[in-house]
Amino acid sequence: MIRAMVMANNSILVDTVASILAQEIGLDVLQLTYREPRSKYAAIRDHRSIVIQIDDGDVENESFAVMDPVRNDVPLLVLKISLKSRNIHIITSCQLVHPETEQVADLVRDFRRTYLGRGNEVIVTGPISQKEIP
Amino acid sequence: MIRVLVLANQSLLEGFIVSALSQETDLDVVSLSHLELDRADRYSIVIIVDEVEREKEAVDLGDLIRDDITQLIIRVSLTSRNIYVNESYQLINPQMEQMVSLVRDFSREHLTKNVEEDGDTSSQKKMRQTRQVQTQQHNPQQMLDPLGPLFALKQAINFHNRAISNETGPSEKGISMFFYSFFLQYLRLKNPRNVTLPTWQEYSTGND
Repeated sequence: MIRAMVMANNSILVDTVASILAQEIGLDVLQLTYREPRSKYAAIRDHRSIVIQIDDGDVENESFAVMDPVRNDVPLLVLKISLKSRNIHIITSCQLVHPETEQVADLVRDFRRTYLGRGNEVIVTGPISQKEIP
Repeated sequence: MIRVLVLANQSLLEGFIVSALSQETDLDVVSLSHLELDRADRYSIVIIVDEVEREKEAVDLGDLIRDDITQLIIRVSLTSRNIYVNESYQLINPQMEQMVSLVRDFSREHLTKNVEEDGDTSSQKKMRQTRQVQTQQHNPQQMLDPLGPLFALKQAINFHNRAISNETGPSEKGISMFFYSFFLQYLRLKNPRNVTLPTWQEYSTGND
């Protein structure tokens, strides 16, 4: 079963996103808020396949160390939605099983073409902090 | 120039990777060993060759990951003979549908058992397909509804909170309640099973 974790300061935001995902994708969505104890995150996040974090910019929240789960070797998708900048920061982690060596170079070429190319500067390239809309 | 770091000890594999990437004109390829790494440097693309006998020298991935730049990190494990791929990027002003598509595509491509069983070729094909789809979705000219429902929801919550705390006058309160009720109706249309509308008395008194 695919499992996702949705986090936000406000429970209504969490409910909305979780509801949309449940309806559109049929996920078994776990609903959490920032108010949960930090230790609970640590226990849960390692088992999440998809993490959606909504930052409304209002409250100094407990910043979720978004890269922590990436260090594991499990497939993971992290979406950091900023309601202030209106951008989504995406982190994906996956693995290729027994690939050929050439695929390393292919991965680099694909990533450069897709995300670091001149045509995509406005869309996805960094530095991320400078791309936020005032 | 795009900075590429190949983090490995001198080996045939390291030489092959550096040689292959150096042929690209816009890549600035730097090859370092774990001991030579300066953790303050920032690289858009990092390739780590993870050797089992060098565990004591293994670099902490957290030292290389940058949360604020578009970045690709590839870790080649000589132990498992797998490649672990981490991508970090940003969508500017996307639509809500894109978020749903991202989740749907990722779960389909990477969270099914078939991915591991299919092996390298199909996985690579799937990754490329995903990127092509995402590239098409990233066309800024098509971004007409940037996270609209979430912003609207945020506004509704603000109206609700202000109304409860009596910060607004009677007329303002009436307007805020109008938007609040309108948005709840909208939510119910979208998600009829998950939204419970308050009664009119709850509207007028401001109680949840």
